[in-house]
Amino acid sequence: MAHPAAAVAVAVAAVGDLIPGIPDDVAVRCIAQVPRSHHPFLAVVSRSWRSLLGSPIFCAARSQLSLPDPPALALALNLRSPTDQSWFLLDPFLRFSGSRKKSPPPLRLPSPPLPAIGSACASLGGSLFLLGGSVADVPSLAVQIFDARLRRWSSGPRMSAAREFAAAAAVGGRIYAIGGCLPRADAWAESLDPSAGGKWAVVPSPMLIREKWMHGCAVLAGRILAVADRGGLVYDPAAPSNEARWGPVPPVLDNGWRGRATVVGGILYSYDFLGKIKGYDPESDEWKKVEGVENELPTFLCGATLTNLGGLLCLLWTGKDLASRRKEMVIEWAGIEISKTTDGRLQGSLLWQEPVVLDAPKGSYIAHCVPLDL
Amino acid sequence: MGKTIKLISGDGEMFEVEEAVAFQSNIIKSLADEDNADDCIPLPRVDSQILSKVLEFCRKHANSPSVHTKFAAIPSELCPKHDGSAAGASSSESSSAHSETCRACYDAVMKLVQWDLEFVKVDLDLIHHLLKAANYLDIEDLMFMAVEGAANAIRGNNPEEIRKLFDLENDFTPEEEKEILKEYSWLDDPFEP
Repeated sequence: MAHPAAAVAVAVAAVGDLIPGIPDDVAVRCIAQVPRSHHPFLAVVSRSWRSLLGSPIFCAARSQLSLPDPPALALALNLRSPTDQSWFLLDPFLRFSGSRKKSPPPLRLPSPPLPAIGSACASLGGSLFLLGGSVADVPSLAVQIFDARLRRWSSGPRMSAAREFAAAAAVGGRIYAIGGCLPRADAWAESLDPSAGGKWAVVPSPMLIREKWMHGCAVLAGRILAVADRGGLVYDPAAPSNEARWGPVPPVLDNGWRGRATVVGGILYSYDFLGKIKGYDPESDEWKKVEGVENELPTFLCGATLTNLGGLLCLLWTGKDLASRRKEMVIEWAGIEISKTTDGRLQGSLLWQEPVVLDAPKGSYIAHCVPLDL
Repeated sequence: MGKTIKLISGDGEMFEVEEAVAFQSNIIKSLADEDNADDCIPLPRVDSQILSKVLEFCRKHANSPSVHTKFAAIPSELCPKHDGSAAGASSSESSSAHSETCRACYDAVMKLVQWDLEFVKVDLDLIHHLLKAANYLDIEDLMFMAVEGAANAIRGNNPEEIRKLFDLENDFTPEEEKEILKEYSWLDDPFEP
């Protein structure tokens, strides 16, 4: 406290009084200083407060204050059932902060305008990119972008190749789309710089490594790894020449990798069919099991998805609540902090595990799960 | 006592204060600058209870203008250690440079900040009025602290109380309220700030 805040210069369109008798820009300053954990309360005060919370002005005001809020990160979750799909925002900070007895339910997000199936998903900062997928069985070129702060979908530049079940990754500020279309397509791999407001650029690739459908994708040490039907491929954007950029996945990694994976602290984590979480260490080219959580997690994690939530390994799986009369979907999620011991073993400690009720039909599965900056 | 000025609150009470105190309000300063034979300045929008609180703040800040907004701290001439004497303080030394190196000034500023923090823990009824008065009278440092106080007041209360604090209306339609209450049904739990 007592640090001089730079005058928060915000141009506020007249939206009605936020606080009667005070200019709106002063009111914004007052409200902006309230910690994020209290935002759900602010949204209920009045219409003008509710619309302020979602506005770019408010985001700008908050970012100009040096607030002691912890880094704001949430998970965007896409649940899918045969008839339905829905998106939610799971905010760990709101769930675990304060002394509330009940946790707020996950926030239901608007659905993307195009109800595509089999889109590829990658996040960059506060934006989520949904690439392609098929609509009415026709693969699409569409790119749909979700802004986590404004909670709004918009259209991005269309890809050059229509894709479904492609691999998508964000590396070095660019979004990459790989596969998901016939190997002979010119733009089998392409990339986009969203900040330059430009167009997709083809990423040249040798025919030999091209596959059609991708089952999993991760970014390890600045390289994109994607797993396909017959093996995996690695793309290194920083390699000096086009030929040097593409290669196969190391065999040890390939053998152990089962589709969904995430990278935390330079280790690629995957969940195998025996119910164990393992980490692949590229430095020693070996898989290691994660110790310290075997007895704390259930033996089998159904439909498990892994993601990196601010440096924590986050696991989500569908709860086994099928017998209950509850109509909604229950998922379980857990956060694990992993450290490497001096002899290179992976030591995990379970920080939380709890069920989350989602307003989605029972029997849905987790289609996408990505972290987003708020 | 230096030159004084008379201020009349909205409910007709008269306050006589030193110029150094009153002129922290840019509005009072410009009203006084006008060629006015009468040195009585009416402030119809501030009532006596609030005005006395405002003046209490200004009296405390009379020697330390712009502590919060410019962090210029105390001008070296007013430094408690140097006692106004010119010895040891070069005339070209700027205020902020002086306070960076002078322990006495730094301590004085920190003490003032502590006092300010206590000051804005006013009765919650007053915080809205204090905010309005700081805005109306254009007192930068008071505005800075009132914003802090308002943020704390918002943070420490549930929505209904926030509305009461700031005279806000619940302008959601009954349908919207139902939706919101459903979304935030967990708000019914006792709230511990």
